[in-house]
Amino acid sequence: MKKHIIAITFGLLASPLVLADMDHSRHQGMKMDTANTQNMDCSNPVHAKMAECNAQKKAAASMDHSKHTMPMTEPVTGTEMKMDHSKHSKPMGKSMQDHSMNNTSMKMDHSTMKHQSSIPVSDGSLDHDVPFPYPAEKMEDDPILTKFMLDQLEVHDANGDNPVTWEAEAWIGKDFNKLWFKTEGERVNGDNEELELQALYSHAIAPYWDVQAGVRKDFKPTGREWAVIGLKGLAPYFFETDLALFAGDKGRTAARIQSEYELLFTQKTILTPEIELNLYGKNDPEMRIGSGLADARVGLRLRHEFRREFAPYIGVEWTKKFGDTADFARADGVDVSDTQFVTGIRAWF
Amino acid sequence: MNNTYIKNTFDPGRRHFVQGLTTAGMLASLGMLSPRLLSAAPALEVPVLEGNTFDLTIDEIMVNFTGSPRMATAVNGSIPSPTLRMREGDDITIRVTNKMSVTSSIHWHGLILPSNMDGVPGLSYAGIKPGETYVYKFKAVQNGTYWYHSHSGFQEQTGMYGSIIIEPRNADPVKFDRDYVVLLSDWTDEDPHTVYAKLKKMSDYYNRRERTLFDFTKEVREKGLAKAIEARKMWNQMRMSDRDISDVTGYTYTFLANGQTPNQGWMGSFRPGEKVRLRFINGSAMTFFDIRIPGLKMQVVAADGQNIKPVHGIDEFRIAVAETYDVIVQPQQGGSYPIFAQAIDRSGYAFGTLTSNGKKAKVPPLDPAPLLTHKDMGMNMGGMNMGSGDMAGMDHSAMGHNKNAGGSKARVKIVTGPNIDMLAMDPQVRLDDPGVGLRNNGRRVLTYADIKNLYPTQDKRPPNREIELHLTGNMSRYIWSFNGVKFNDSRPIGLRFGERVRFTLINDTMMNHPIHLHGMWSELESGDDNYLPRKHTIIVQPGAKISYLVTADAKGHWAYHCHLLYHMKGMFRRVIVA
Repeated sequence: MKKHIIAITFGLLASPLVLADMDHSRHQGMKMDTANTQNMDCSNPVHAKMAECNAQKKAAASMDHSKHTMPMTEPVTGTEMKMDHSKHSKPMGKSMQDHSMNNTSMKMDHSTMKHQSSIPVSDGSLDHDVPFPYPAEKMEDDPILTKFMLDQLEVHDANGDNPVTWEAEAWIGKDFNKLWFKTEGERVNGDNEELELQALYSHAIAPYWDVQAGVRKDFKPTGREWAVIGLKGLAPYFFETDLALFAGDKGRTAARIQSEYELLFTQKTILTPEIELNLYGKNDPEMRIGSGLADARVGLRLRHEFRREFAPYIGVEWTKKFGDTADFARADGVDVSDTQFVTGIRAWF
Repeated sequence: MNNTYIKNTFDPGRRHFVQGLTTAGMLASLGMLSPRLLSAAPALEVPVLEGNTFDLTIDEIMVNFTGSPRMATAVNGSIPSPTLRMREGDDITIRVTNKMSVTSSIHWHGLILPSNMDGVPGLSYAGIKPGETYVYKFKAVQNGTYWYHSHSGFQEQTGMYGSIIIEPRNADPVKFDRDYVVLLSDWTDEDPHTVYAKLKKMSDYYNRRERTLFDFTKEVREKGLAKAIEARKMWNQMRMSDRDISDVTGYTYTFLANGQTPNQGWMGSFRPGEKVRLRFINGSAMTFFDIRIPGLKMQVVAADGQNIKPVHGIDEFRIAVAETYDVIVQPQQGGSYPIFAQAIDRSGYAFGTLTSNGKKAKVPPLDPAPLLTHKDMGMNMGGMNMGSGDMAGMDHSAMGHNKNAGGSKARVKIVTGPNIDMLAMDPQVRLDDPGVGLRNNGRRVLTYADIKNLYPTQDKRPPNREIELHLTGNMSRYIWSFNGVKFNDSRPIGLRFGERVRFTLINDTMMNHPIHLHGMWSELESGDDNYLPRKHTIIVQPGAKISYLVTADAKGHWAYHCHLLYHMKGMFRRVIVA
């Protein structure tokens, strides 16, 4: 069963949503090989053998400051700026022209611009850095930022005890690397019925996706510790998605799939359908959880953003337990499925 | 006629409070003496300094553009900074004193001068430290309309920008009776660091024109469900919005003309039949403007300070951040004409009035908010390029091996990954495309194809090589770069002194980017090689490609960057001419 679940969850992680980002070979009209050739890094020894690289090298070595430049034949002396310029007077320029003329793989521009002849193309970069002439503050494009997101803080209209639940996240970090915290829980009559905390390292791996890995600790209802690996991001069609796998002690495994969508009625009034599925690798009677799909939660929340950062909402949430989990619930006299109205706030800063 | 300026030496007490600039009757920074006397309201025009020696002091001041007082960075206590009028050929001395507690700098935008006078910290000098005075000395080798601004941090956003007018040494080919600067800018009460952080956390934070369910149902009614879904398909798959026009919008910005809000309304006087020269300068941090003067045709006579072959009968033109355009209007009828500068996303406007009777003109309605098209995504009907982009280019078959198809393949290495959300599949040279929001609007809109230099191209040599740079980024992560490499990870671009180089820019993003090369002209290949217009800032439209020639005739370290303030830190290169 455990293997089965792992297979499922990995399958989910590699679902088409994700593949849309990862697997470009699927796209119509797109061929990886051409693309690779085109972006080929000629410093890569495998690529470097290819004809195109050689051609590029010839052109680059003879004329400019491209990244693909072969080691210069003349040693670099004096300031770096002087290096190739002094060597590249007219004769060199001529030979470079010859290269590019004979070089069929040299890309030419056949656009509407009038190009007299093919001339070498590069990104213009010098092949090594040159110190700044004057001291100055570095232009920091990627400052350390923090964000706190209270996605849900809501009161449930349930029979009698009206539990309060929350889902919140916070991160600190830079564009590609963040320390990420997640918490969710439920509080009834002043006591935490459920409390879960995750601390993750989040790393950007694709334009819209971060891989997140770390630890999860369940404090309530039952103390459990898990290792976490997940994928969080924006799937095509704007589905905000979080997929996570958990591995605990005694061979416990679990997976969680969350996805939500935003439907704008106006710029400020937004309906958010949301789904969450929890799966487990094996029975955990202490947690009253069975293997397989244990529970599903489907929510629909309508919020009004008084500011971007602050929005109260109303909504409805339907939950259902499945399989052995449902059996545990029946044995305990707990509802297997339930529908509750919720009122809450969403905020971030 | 045009040399009767107001002399206005710096008076430090004069504009400490740029607050409550209420009254109408504001005259131009360069108003003639007589219309100035007609005006009852004093002291609200931008101060004008004239001569060959200038003293500028940078300090923080309190301002109030929105009803809430805010700290701003200002030169000589004024926002905009004083207009500097100088004469071509003169040796200019400008002493700039920094009275703030942080390092500052002033860059003379568009002026051809030695690298150590260019005002870019790290490249020209170390910046102007608190309490220090830096003395700029250079010869005014050109004439025309330029501007200056801080090149430190986000100080430009908080008020440090002013106009420069260099009078021609010889007779001005442009004839006019009145001469006004219209300096456009965008003001926010927010700390620019907060703006930047918000964009990083939620890149559509300032976009309040996002698609709603009703936009979709409307499309369904118009073209049926299947077609409506199909039309959304690419955007949905790419996770992009066709309404993503401006990163920072009228949601936070108040747009200013000569430092005045639309409510205040800058005014310039004329008498019927006079030729009025309007020197438009876009000193915004982030806002492109589409400018028109309903009721008047404009004759465009200069672009980026350089005289061009006059383009007649223009109804509207787009001015990128940092561009300048000089136009002549000649109202035969008296009355009040609105100078209407809509933000490119139509989230607001800057506004002024040309008047013969002192009355504020009526504000025209805003045009509909533009929508990006497949063309703006650099697509040509065929496939698309999305996702993490381990591929820089496209399929050969989609390109059809047509050599005139506009070579879309990247010819240089692009570093892809989480930092890039798209690559233009089929970028086209679109000189005659007025751009998103201006196409087929029934008006005669200026395009780059209209712009030919008045004088012949000086350096007739063909380029000996080409530098291709892709403007790249990930909108949702708010990361910007050239060729996928942001400035802090990049190596400088090297130019050999004296060489002639073609720069080809390909925009792999959904935004217009104004690209500015310091120190040397960017000679836009706008159609006639014999009359290449010399620009300092060039718009690269989304999904488009454009090229210009540069003669590397100025040694030193130069800045080269997108002039959108919140893109600049990443989309930046150092150019070394040696």
